[in-house]
Amino acid sequence: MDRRPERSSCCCAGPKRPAAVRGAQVRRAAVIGAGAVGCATAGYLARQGLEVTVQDVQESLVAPLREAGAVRLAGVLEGAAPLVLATTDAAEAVAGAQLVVTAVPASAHEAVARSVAPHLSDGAVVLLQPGATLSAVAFMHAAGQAGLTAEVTPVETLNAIFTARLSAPGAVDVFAVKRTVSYAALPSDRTAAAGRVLEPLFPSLTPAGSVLEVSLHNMNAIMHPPVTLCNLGPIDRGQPFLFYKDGGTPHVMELVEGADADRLALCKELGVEAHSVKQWYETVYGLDQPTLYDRIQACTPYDTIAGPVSIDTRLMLEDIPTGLVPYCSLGDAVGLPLPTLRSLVTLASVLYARDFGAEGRTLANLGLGNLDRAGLIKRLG
Amino acid sequence: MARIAIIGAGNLGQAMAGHLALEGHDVSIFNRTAARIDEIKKRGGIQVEGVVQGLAKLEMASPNIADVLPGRTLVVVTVPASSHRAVIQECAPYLEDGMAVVLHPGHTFGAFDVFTALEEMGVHKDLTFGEIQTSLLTSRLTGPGKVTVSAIKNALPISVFPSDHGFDRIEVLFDTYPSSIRAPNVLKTSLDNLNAPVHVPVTLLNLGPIDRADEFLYYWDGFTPAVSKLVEAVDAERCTLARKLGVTPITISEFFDTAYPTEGEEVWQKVRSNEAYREITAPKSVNTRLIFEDLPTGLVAFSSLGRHLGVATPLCDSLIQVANTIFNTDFAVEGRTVERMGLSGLDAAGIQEFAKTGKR
Repeated sequence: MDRRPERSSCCCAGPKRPAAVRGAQVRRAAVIGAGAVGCATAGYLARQGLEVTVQDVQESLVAPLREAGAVRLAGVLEGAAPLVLATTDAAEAVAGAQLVVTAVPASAHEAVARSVAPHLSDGAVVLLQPGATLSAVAFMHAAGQAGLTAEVTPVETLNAIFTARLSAPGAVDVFAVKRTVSYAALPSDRTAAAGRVLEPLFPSLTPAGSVLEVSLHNMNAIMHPPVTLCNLGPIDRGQPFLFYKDGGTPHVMELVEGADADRLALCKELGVEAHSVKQWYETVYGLDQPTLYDRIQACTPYDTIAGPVSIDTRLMLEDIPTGLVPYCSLGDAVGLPLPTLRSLVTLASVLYARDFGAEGRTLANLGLGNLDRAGLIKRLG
Repeated sequence: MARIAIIGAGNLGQAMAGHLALEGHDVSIFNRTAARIDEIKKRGGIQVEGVVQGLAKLEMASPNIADVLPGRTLVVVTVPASSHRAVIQECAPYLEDGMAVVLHPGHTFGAFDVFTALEEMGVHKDLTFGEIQTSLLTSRLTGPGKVTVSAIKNALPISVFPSDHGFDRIEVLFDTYPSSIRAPNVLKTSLDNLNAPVHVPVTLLNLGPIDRADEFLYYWDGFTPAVSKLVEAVDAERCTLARKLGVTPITISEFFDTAYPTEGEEVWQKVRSNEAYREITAPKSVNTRLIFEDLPTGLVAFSSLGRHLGVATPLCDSLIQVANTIFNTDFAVEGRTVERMGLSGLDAAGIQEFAKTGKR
């Protein structure tokens, strides 16, 4: 929902405070991921005077940044922002960085964690942007297995901070810096300390109660798989359609709201203040039409968002393992049936010939398989 | 000459009534909506075109079941399966010893459903029930009292319940459709319900375009390789259940090999090369029999049977759940569950025995 409205800006504005007050400790920041959001993040931080490194596993994304020694910005941010390093080598990128910001699909968080773990500095804040569900936990679990020794604070956000699109190699159009992006650290008693580092740099960041609260508001996972599933025929035959405007029909929205009802039940059971997907459109886009369908139809940032032209899309392959699967696993832990969410995972597993339930972010896969409701709230709440 | 009543004057009802009448049988037809009956009366019969041709004169056409049933030996029900129960309740006062009631098609557990409904009403007549696996005729209404029969299908299984009764009472069907196969019992036709494993996944995975009334070919466009994966996986659940009940099922892939001339190895290739599907368009609304008939009389039965016999049916269950969520209902309530069929106390062997004797 936040990663695809690439031609939008209605929901967003510039930073609410001037960026004069900087996170005192942060002199060097590493950005992992050189896609649109990564480049926007790197440029944004460099423009604030930080030494910024950028890493991506794809040399084709890194090379233009390395050659220019800068990222070229357009849109709400403008000009060339200098980079001290652009590399495919994660160790080199994060060395000495007090802040590491990921701008990769959530399904890559574990891989990023493994590549940076031994090279992180003590006291570093790792900002997982956006976080999907249980990203901070997943990052720390994978990093721990990969030899993390430094004391680091993982932070997950609900959405990406930037709405952006790569316009040319090494150049990014930044359409918007979101006005409000909620975040939390793991454990949550570190959110305030992390905030002292992060908020001066990213004034749009707004603290949430816990990573559990952030994780349980993964609206991508509630919206994308139902809409994709109900339009799988046209997607599979490569028929163009507007993902939300055409694909989000009234009955498809019934399925979305059914999935959301399961998520809300989980919020309630885990003591998290819950906002429905329908409310979310009011909060983020100011839409107050009576039904979710009406709100989607009125959402102008969605006017041009096309449906995928292959079923191999992040809308399923990212949002199911890093969204619906951890929801179902949390449901197991607290004894909630979550019938709609489970059905979506089951059907998707057959369509993709993958056992999402086994390979995704289950509590067991995250090393939390022994936690019950109270344990989850204590650890993640 | 047989005395036959056809219940329902839709595409299939008019096609079959017309065909049987042209074959020289004494045919009456019932339809709840009087307009259809008036059209037939006005024309003086049913005008049949296509592979069968002629003006078929009927003995009786009426919106009143009492006019249509008395004196008939064979009753063929062509209404949607979700109405079988209501129709048999309406027919009950006029059923006579020795009659055969054939559900065309029966979907899953059609015979059990009408049998149980009569039992609940205290009707204990000497009746034979039948199920035809799918429609014998490919047909569509082309005008008032006018129907085009584009194909008569080959080798379709027809069953009777209780199977101990044999086929004597429905012999006229085998005379008229000689390639039909005498199925060993009603479990064969019930478990070889291929509509449900195809229609429900194809419709749900194309729900967006259907809900916005897009024009597309239901099979040729809608049955993509990915859709096919889900259809085949649902079909595999059906086949497992069938084997558990002693039925050798026909798989969806085998069905396309035998029923139609098709090309390709993959199921989706067979479907999309089937000329019979060339012009079949998608419904223009989600309120379609492809869901509202096929879920309660197909997947609900499979799911319930699976739970009863200890066979996991995760895909049937998930499709039912997704549909329940979308339509804000519980399809199992009106569906053909084990409980509603009165099968709760029976194991797999007991169900097979019931299919044979009609005794639980």
